[in-house]
Amino acid sequence: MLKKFNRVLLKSNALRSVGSIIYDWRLAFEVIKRSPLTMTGLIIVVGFIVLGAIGPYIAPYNPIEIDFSSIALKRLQPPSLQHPFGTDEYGRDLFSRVLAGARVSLMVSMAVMSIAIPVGLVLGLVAGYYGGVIDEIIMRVTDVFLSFPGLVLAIAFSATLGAGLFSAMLALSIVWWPSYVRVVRAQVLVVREQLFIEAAKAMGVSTRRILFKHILPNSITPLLVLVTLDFGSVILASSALSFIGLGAQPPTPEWGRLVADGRKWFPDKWWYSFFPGLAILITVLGFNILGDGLRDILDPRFRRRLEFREVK
Amino acid sequence: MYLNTLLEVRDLRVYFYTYAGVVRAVDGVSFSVRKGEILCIVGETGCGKSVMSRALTRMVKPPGRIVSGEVLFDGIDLLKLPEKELKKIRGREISYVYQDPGSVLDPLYTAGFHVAETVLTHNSSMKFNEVWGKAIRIFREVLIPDPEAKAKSYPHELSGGMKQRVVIATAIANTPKLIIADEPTTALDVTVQAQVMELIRSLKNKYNSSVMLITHNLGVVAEVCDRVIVMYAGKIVEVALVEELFTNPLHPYTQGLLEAVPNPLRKVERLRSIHGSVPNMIDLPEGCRFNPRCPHKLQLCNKEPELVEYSKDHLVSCWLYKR
Amino acid sequence: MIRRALTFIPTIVGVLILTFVISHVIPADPARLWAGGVKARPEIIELMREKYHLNLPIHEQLVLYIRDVFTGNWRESPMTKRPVLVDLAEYFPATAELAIVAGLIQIALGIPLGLLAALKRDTPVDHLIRVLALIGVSAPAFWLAIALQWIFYYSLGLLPATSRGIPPSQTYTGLYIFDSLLTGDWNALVINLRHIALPSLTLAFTGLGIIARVVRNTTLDVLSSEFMDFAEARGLSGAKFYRHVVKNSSIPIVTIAGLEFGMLLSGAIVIETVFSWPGIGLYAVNAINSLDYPAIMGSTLLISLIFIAVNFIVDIAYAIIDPRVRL
Repeated sequence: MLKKFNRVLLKSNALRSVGSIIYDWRLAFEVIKRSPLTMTGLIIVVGFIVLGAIGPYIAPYNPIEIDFSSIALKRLQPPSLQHPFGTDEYGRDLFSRVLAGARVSLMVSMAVMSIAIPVGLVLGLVAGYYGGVIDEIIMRVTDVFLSFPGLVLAIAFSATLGAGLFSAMLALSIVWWPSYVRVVRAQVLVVREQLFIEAAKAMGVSTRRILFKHILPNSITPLLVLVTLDFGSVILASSALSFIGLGAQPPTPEWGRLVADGRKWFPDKWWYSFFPGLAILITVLGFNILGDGLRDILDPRFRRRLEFREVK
Repeated sequence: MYLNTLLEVRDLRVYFYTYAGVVRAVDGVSFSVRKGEILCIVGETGCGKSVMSRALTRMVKPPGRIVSGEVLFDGIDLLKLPEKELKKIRGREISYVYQDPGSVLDPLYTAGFHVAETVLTHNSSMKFNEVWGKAIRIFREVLIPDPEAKAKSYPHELSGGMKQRVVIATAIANTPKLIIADEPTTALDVTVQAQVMELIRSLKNKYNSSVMLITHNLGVVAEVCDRVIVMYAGKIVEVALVEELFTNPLHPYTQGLLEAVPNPLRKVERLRSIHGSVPNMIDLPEGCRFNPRCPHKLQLCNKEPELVEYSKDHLVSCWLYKR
Repeated sequence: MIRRALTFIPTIVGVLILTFVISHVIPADPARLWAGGVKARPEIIELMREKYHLNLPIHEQLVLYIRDVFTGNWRESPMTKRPVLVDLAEYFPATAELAIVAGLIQIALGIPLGLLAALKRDTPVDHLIRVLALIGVSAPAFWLAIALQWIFYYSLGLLPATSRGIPPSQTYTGLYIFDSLLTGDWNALVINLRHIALPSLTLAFTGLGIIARVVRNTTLDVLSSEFMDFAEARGLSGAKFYRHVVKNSSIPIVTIAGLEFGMLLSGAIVIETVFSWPGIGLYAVNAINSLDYPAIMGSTLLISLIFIAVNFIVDIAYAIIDPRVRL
């Protein structure tokens, strides 16, 4: 195992000058396998995505419908074998609702990312590559957005657009793109100065081609860490929006909303708030652990440290 | 031991214990530094020169470890000295000039502060304004123009050559007996290099210190050195007075080195490069470490040669000269 | 410094334009929104339209809006029937107090933890601090708040779970703890400290880990830098040696301080409701629930202005520490 790892490491270093991304990835995979913490993060993230996809189908009970015939009998029951997370005030199985909530969180975070990343990427590329007035304008606007604590601005947008999951998604997307502009632009400024871009320019390669074929791929690796971490942050932010009454509305089984609903019965029916909150914690933790691990792996200093680590 | 010996190193070994294996960066090095001389250490990048120089005052960081050896300085073994005592020697008796003046000065403190605190550390009875005055006097000595103003400048406001003068100023601040200069001119412009070398030489004469100059620039060696040590892959392969080395190089590696650059003391028709490259330090060749690249390889070369005296003051480690 | 301050003017103007866009341009019918949304009565909507010049062309509205912000007319809250600025002045000190105390806790615990992690690099202690940091940024603050209430109030009965305590006999700044200290009202001080304990710990925990991690990483970076190596070669030891470490390590810490304060403000909004802490967060969330639009926008604007001010201070601190940075 150690031998193989060393081989991959050495190869990756030998080929770095050629810019082999494939070896980078093989190395990354080897490192993930060696770091139990990062592996845990990866498992949680994959588990979350799978549950988001199939959660509602494997839920033991209907997460949304209320069975009015048995409310009195089944409402607010503590965790048991039948209902591992207990039941809510309408007798619904909280385990099923938390499972279904994975899909809501996954949808929101994916929607926000799929708007924020392309917008940030394009604006960052354009600002970094062209510089001058375009850069100045884009960065000024970005600065304005970053002059608000993110969640506060999201609350303002969300309140204006009206409570609801869709407006929360929109609000978070509007708030999230500026940080990507900064990161991508900084990366572009670094890549732009490199010789191969000069060479491409000298050979008359079109600007668009340089941007998308050369600069973009080279800017993506550092972005990857940020995206992983942000996936968790979006889940956290959207649950906070729902908790304060914006975002998801009943009967949508959103985790933040469930915590807020459970608070009415706190502290006697502690499970109502406890399990949905735990689901948020574990999911976000998964993304953060994975992102943190990826950052180490992609950091050349860390790579050096791995190679030259002291053997005790 | 010669009467005029300042520092004697015996069988020094520094190994790096890494994941990939044990790197024997310095492997059984013995030599001495004489009073008032400029001793050059020559060798390719990665041959262990810098590590060796830092090991002299035990400044090796993990995963590196000093495995064995003695460093006798005024008769005291520095490798056995308690850290507290050693701190009194660093910067006072033995001082360093590092390679890259751009990164050895703390960017948050003024140039003068570096010199002043170095003086203050070793003379705790002095007051700060006394020390500051001394710093400015030293700045004048290392030929920094307008020393009062430059002392108040931050490193980023000074040029590379100027920063290296500041570094040299810290090195001579306590009139050390030994100055170890680790490639002091490599990071500088060619025009500044000569000035800095000249400065080191004149300061050495003034304070009668010894200088250990680490370099891979043979031009510098020919110009300023008294004696030369040639290192290859963690070992000393040849020691000689500078004239002797340039006129009568013994070790095939030294010969190769001299043929690879214009020789100031001998006319060579064309330059030649040494065949092959520096060996992987983890997976060293058996016996003489130079044998895979050596043009005169013998059967014997699979065994390790010892450093033996060829003539007075000329030592070589090669089977070709076995008596 | 004045030059640096001037560069903030476009940002502030930009912030005003953005809040204007949010409140006047995005809504399909701003008048209805200002009047309280769907349930608003037509005559009130009409009144709002008149009062806030919503009939005028957009650019004139913008000019009027900016003028109003600077002259202190931050509209009136339908919920409290008072000017929003008056409400904010009343609620703000509680949030400021909470954020400051939480920030102090973060510094007091985060820096030693970070140093410890750096010192014990790659040992179980280091890993534990890393995991703690990750849990801190991952835990939903509102849920953590509830959990802490459960432990310290319902189970152990050690600390109060809600409200802010009592004002000291004399209030100067509105920061109860600070005022209690000033007036020497020890009774009030103890009560107020007990009340702020849970909210401030909750808030501090979310960013504590980040600070510890930054401290750890920068300390390690500085310790392995060439100038520290050279400092060792010059024989520096003790305070003379560590002076360089501390000053260089403080740069990244100062840099993230501004960001961290923004996170504290965001966090405060969410957890103030849980602790019934009478700050801007509680005010804003109540406003959201009663569709009190002027109050929401007023809170947003105030928080953003504070955030800008804090970042300005951070920039100055940064320039004082690092001579390479010019104001």
